[in-house]
Formats: sequence, structure tokens, C-alpha cells
Amino acid sequence: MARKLPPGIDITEFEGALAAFAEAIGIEWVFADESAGVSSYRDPFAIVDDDHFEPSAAVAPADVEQVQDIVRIAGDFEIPLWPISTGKNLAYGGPAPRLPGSVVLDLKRLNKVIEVNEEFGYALVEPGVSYLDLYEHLQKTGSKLWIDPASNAMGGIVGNTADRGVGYTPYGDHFAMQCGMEVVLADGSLVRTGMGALPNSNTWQLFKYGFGPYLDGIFTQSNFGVITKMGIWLMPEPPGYRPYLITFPREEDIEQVIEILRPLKVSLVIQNAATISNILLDACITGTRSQYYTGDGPLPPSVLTKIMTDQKIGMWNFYSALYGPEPIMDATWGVIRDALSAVPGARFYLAEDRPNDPVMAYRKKLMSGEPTLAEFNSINWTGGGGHVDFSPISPITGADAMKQYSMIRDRCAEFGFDYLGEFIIGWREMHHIFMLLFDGEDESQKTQARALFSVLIDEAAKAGYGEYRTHLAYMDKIAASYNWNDNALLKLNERIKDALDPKGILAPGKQGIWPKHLRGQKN
Amino acid sequence: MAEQVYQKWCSHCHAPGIGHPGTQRLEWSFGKDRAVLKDRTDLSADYIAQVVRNGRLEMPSFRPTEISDTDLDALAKFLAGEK
Repeated sequence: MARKLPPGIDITEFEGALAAFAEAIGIEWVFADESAGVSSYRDPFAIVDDDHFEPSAAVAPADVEQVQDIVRIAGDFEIPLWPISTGKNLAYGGPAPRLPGSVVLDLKRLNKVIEVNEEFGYALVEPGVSYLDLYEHLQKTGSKLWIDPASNAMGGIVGNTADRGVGYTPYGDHFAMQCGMEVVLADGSLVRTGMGALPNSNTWQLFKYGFGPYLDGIFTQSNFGVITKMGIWLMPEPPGYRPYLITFPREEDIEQVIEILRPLKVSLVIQNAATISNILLDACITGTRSQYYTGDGPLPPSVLTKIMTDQKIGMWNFYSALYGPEPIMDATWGVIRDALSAVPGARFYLAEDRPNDPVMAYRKKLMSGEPTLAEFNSINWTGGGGHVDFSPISPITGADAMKQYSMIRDRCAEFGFDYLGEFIIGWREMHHIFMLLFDGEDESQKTQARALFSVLIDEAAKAGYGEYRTHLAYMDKIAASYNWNDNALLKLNERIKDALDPKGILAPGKQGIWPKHLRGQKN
Repeated sequence: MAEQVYQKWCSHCHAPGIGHPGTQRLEWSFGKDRAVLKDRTDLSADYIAQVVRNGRLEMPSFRPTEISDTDLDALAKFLAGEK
């Protein structure tokens, strides 16, 4: 099989670059062929051809200085780099690069928990630190701080936050809880943002904004720099924690439920990033589709009723939690119960009411900062392992939620997929996450999945809904949907890109931002 | 050492019981007695190493920066029951 090369680079130039990388970080940390494990850098759940987003090689520096060396060498040889932190962005491409032939800059070896501050509740971490790593560190050191993990415990704090992922505790808006970055720029220079720009500052992880322009945001979901350190605020363990589930029996209940939830969330009666999950997103944690139904098309009402009976859940299931002193939790629980009792058939469960419920068990973990991989079982629902998330933002309104839900549900039925989804409630919006499951070894199903995904992007955009994040294969298409005023935002991103990375070596194509020499090409 | 590698990288999905997606999937595919990875006796070290590096269906791949070649060799032999 012909060797994979970066675009426009011949084998001699490429081997020259590999030699320079090896000299900088050691040959054992340059993975350039099959035997060295370069195939482990592909997208494990590819919605396109398995080897489409294939790297030419991967390099794994040990520290910031080596990251700077790698970036300078890449600039000298004009080799495209694709930085990853823990490489477990699994519903969106995993470790694979957007531009085939890129060299993956694997930051996993930068895995130090640099500081944990109990008094102010924060940590300063390197990109290779996963949620599991930090959780185990805090457990070992007897810390009283909670992390806010993504649903994939192997995910990285820096990587997930830089992709603006969300969690499930009151600290669920990860980027809102980020404070201070250190970034290697495309010329290899090093910058610290916020209060970190002031030498000997003791507020780098305390005050987000520093002095002058607030730049942290431009290093998220972008290719303007390589984040090598990040501060993240951690929630002090509350005096009390009471997770709960409220189930609602009818499909149309979503509209009334969300109308009731909005004022509760906006006024912070609901303290955490609570979720309303659809029946199948719960059912798939413990079972498979074929255990309930082997026919084609959507699951019939009779099967849904059986699932609801078997698992004591509803068509919609609201997972949230109370945090604080007992009297305050009691009072808050009363307010929430009264409000949602207005929905006919609502049923109320505290976690202790469902001691053997695996879904309640893993939701209880996520909402209290304990990392878990239980939700990963969802991709066993139809088997074959493939999955990609379609994730539009919705206002916290019943009408919009129902509109988005029914649009996706109906299109799923048309293309032959199930709707497994949830709404995660933020400050003023909801992240609507639809898990599109497909058999990674069934080409016709992958073709149907791609067709469905494209239709959903177009239809959502036409209705004024945009995705907050996406898979490698759809970055260009979704970036193009944010085209107000003749693509003004994309043009601005390209101007920043050209200024910060004139050779275009950092993560070409990330979120649809291409360097000048690759713009307009069919990548 | 292999046990530590297993605990850190495999146990969250392959420990016994519900809440462990790897175990649940293997049970549905091959039945209860071939569901728990550590209890399997029909897996070769080479097969295990290949699946770890390339992933398999619901299982993602693991890179040399996560599980080094040395650790992978020890892990594969450990799970294959080779001394």
C-alpha cells in the first residue's frame, strides 16, 4: 500500500521532516508506519471510509519545549499538524485529522496535573490529562473537589473544553469554567492568556479575563494555536447531593415539560446541566434493539410501552440533582415537584427509590463528577459500533424542542434509523444531542447515515438552528451554514488564521477554517 | 504490571456486569460465559494486540502513547493466559 503523505509533500521531504522530528523528540516517539501503530490514529467510528481521515504519521512530544520544536520543524517543512489531547473525541472523529495525510501531534505525554488548589477550587492541567486521570488524582490526594466529566471518562479536560463540550454537574458548561491558557503558536512561540500574561501573577486561575482582549475563546474549536496548559474551576463537594429522575409518559409531554423547566433553570432553582433523555437513550444502556424489536422502521407504540413498563421510565426522562444543605434541598425539591406535577402522569424518583437501575446509577455518577463509561453502551443498541452526534442548539422552549425533535425523528424514520437523543439544559439554551448509530461495517447503512446527517444540517439551518460542534466530515458544511452577512464570520476566522499561521500548518480544516493555500479545494 | 494496565485501560468497559459496555456487548454476541474478558481462554495475544491498536466495532483504538508496545505485549499475554 502506497505510503500516506501530507498533501504537496514528496517522500524525500517527508522523511526529512520525520528525521527532524525524531531528533527533537526521539525516534521511539515518531509513529510513521503500520507496525509503529499509526493505524491507531484513525477514526474508530468512521462515517466515511475507514481510512479517509488517515494521518501520515504521529508524533508525541514529552513537554512544552518539544511541542515548540515540533511546531517549528513542521513550519520549516510545511507539514500539516493535527493536535489531539487524549484523542478520545469519539463521536466527532476521535484522534483522526481533518486533512488526510496530516501528522497527528499527540499531546498525551503532556499528562501532568500541575496544580490543584483546594481553597479556590481549581486545577491547572496539561492536555494529556483525562477526566479519569484527574478524578483518580483527586481521590488519591483526598481532595474535596469535584470534576465535571464529559459522558466519556477517557475524554481529555483540555480537549473537551477546547471543543466546548458539556457535562452534567452545576459546572457543566466546561468553557465557562475554564480560566487561563498557555498556548504554542504556529511559529513556535509561547503565550499565556488572562492573568498568566503578568509575570508572577497569583490570579491566573482566578480571573478569566486579564487585561486587554479576551483571547481564550479563539483557541477553542479552532486551529490558531496548540493549548499546552489550561486552568479549570472545580466544584467544592457540596454538603448534600440528591440526584433524581422524573419520568413523563407521552411523547408530546416534552413541550409542556420544557416550558415548566425554563423559569426554573433561568432562576437557578435547577442548579446543574440537567438532561431530558428520550426513552431509547435510556433503554440502550441496558439492552439492544433486537431484544425488544426486530422489525424495520420505528419501534411501534406497543414496544415503547413495554420498554416503559420494563424499565419504569417514560418517553422522556428528566435527570437532575439537588446540591447543598439538607433544608435547602428539601425546599428546592418541593418547588420542582410542585411545578412538574402539572404534567399528567409525571412520576418522581429519588436515586434511592431505584437502587438497581443502571441508568440512574450512571446518571448519579455523572451529575456528581464521577467519570464513567456506562453511556458507551448506547452504541451497542443496534451493534456495529458506528456513531456520530448531531447536536443543534435549541432555545429552552417547548415549541423549539418539539420542532427539533419531530424533525429529527421523522427524518430518522425516513432513512431507517432510531432517534436516540437528549436535551442538556444550559444557562439560556439547550444542547440537543442526537446519537446517530450505524453499523461501521455496513456500507449501505453508512451511506444512509451520511445522507441523513446532511439533510439534518440543511433542514436545521433553514429553521434557524445551528450545531455547536461536529464530526470531521461535516465541519465545512456546518461552518458554511453560519453564513450571515456573506460569510462574514468565516472570513474573519480566515483573516485571523492567515495572521497567526501564514503557512497553515496547524489543524487545517478544523471547524471549516482552511489555510490560504488549501482554501476552496475539495478536501 | 499487566494487571495495572488492564485496570487503567480495560476494566471500565470489560469488568463484569452491567454498566460495562464491553462486557454487555460480548454477552449479547457470544453469551454469558464469553462476556468477561479476563475469563476468556479463546483469545490469542496477537488478536488482542491487534484489536487494542485498531479498535473493533464499539471498541475504540488505543495509541502507543496510551498503551506502550511493552505494556500492550504484557497485557495481551495476560489476557490470553500466556505466562
